[in-house]
Amino acid sequence: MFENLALNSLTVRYGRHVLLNNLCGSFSRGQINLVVGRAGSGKSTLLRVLAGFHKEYDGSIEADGVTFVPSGNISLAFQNPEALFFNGTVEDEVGYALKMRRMGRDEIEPIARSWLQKWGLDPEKCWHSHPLELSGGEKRRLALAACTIFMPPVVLFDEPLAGLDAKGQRALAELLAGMSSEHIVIVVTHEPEILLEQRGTLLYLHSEGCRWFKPAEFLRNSLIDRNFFPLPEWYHSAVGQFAQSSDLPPIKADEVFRYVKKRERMHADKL
Amino acid sequence: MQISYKPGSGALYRLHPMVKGAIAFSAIVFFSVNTLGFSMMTAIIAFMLLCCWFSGVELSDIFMSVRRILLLLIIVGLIQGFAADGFNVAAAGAAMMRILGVFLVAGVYVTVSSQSELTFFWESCFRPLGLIGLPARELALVMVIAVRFFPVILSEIDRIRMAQIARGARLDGGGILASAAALMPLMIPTLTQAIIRAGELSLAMEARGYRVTAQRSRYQRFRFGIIDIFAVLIPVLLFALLLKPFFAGTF
Ligand SMILES: Nc1ncnc2c1ncn2[C@@H]1O[C@H](COP(=O)(O)OP(=O)(O)OP(=O)(O)O)[C@@H](O)[C@H]1O
Ligand SMILES: [Mg+2]
Repeated sequence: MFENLALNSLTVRYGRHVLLNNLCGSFSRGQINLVVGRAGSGKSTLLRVLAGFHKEYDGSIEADGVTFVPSGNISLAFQNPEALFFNGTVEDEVGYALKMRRMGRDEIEPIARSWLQKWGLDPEKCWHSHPLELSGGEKRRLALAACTIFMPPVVLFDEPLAGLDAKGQRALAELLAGMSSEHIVIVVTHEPEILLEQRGTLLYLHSEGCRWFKPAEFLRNSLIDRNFFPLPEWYHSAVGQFAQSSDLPPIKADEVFRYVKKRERMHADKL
Repeated sequence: MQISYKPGSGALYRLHPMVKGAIAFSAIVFFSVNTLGFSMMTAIIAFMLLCCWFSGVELSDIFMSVRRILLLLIIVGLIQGFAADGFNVAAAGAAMMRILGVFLVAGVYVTVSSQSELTFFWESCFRPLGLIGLPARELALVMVIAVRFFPVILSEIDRIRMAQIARGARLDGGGILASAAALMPLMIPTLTQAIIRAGELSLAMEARGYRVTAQRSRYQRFRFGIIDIFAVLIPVLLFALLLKPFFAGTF
């Protein structure tokens, strides 16, 4: 288990084209690390670099002060991780990563069962099902369980919220928050307001340079200047009035919604 | 970077889609089967690139992709080069140029042809099949969709590969059978996704009222221009060159 993953003057190139220039900073455990930026700003590329698949870069990546070796230490999940299923049963799918680590079948079974349970799937019910038979939400859980069963210290997500309904997004946001106590969770997203928590960090990738923000600071910037980052309109009108004030309301979309509802009710009571 | 359509306004872009297709087709056949030597072939490729340059074709992506087939080129060159009397550099070079030529033609063709031009070409080619009762339009549609999805599937394979390797998959097993088994984590998801996507696409198209049998008008009209008349000479010339050996005695 790592505490933090530090980027030391990371410069990433495609051929002669420099995509990320001199990126410094770190991601840590115990919080969700968000990466945001415009399309083409290099978010996915950064994940490729961290996962060791893109090698055209200078600078170094260190985990707890030691050079980071991605192989075996990282898990990577894209927009629809259920696209990775290829086994005939849930049992094989979830245990695959352990099988590839040369563990025996009877060794894998108890781990896999408890792991499924941890991810909110009933092993008794789905153990012999085909992975593609599960419901959408169950598939997502199984996929994430299969990607993390070998306890990689670092887990990378590329736009995990896309294509889910509000309920699914909320459930996933909770799962991600839960994972952050055991893994360093790095999430690329276009919808940061759903995951934005006071204690997280946020890396903003931009062609003129990259910046790290505290969530509140990022929020204030995007409330003041819509060009800085496009937040959804309802969110804007709900918290926009606080942009200048010193104390921001809760900043996670869910909590903002509840907060606004509560104030409305208070207002109605007063009348 | 993927090779894909990059809009432009040069001469190559303005050709009639049929002419473009005919040139590409004849040039690919020409490069595959011709028996010209290394220097002649280099000259033809150089001429071709010059045409592209004058038409303002964005070639950088194509050149970048040449790197991917470099290994193939070298292997072919080595195999072709070894003749009975030692290593024949000219033969090796000619073989490499042949593959390079096919690759460049295909790359340029895809770069200068928009989706609707590709569709037009395929449909026109398949139309005669309709006369003998084959479903020409369906066949054309299949081709176009296959061409269209190719880059999507390529990038998807890339993402699935990375994620499976991160899970612990070893995709490079030794031996043919072993490597076929090792490729399962890559092949099965790719195919599943392709099939799911095809199903979704067909639903979406039908929902929007697409019927293969319906008579359709075209948004874009393609006109035969003066430049096309000259350009038609290229495939004619290439085929004439190819067929010359067969008629050598006749004239
Ligand atoms: N294989 C490649 N070769 C050359 N350039 C590339 C390659 N892959 C991506 N790029 C370029 O790098 C830039 C960043 O790509 P990347 O996929 O990291 O963007 P992104 O921030 O993830 O965008 P999005 O939000 O659309 O997913 C793009 O401008 C793209 O053109
Ligand atoms: Mg991306």
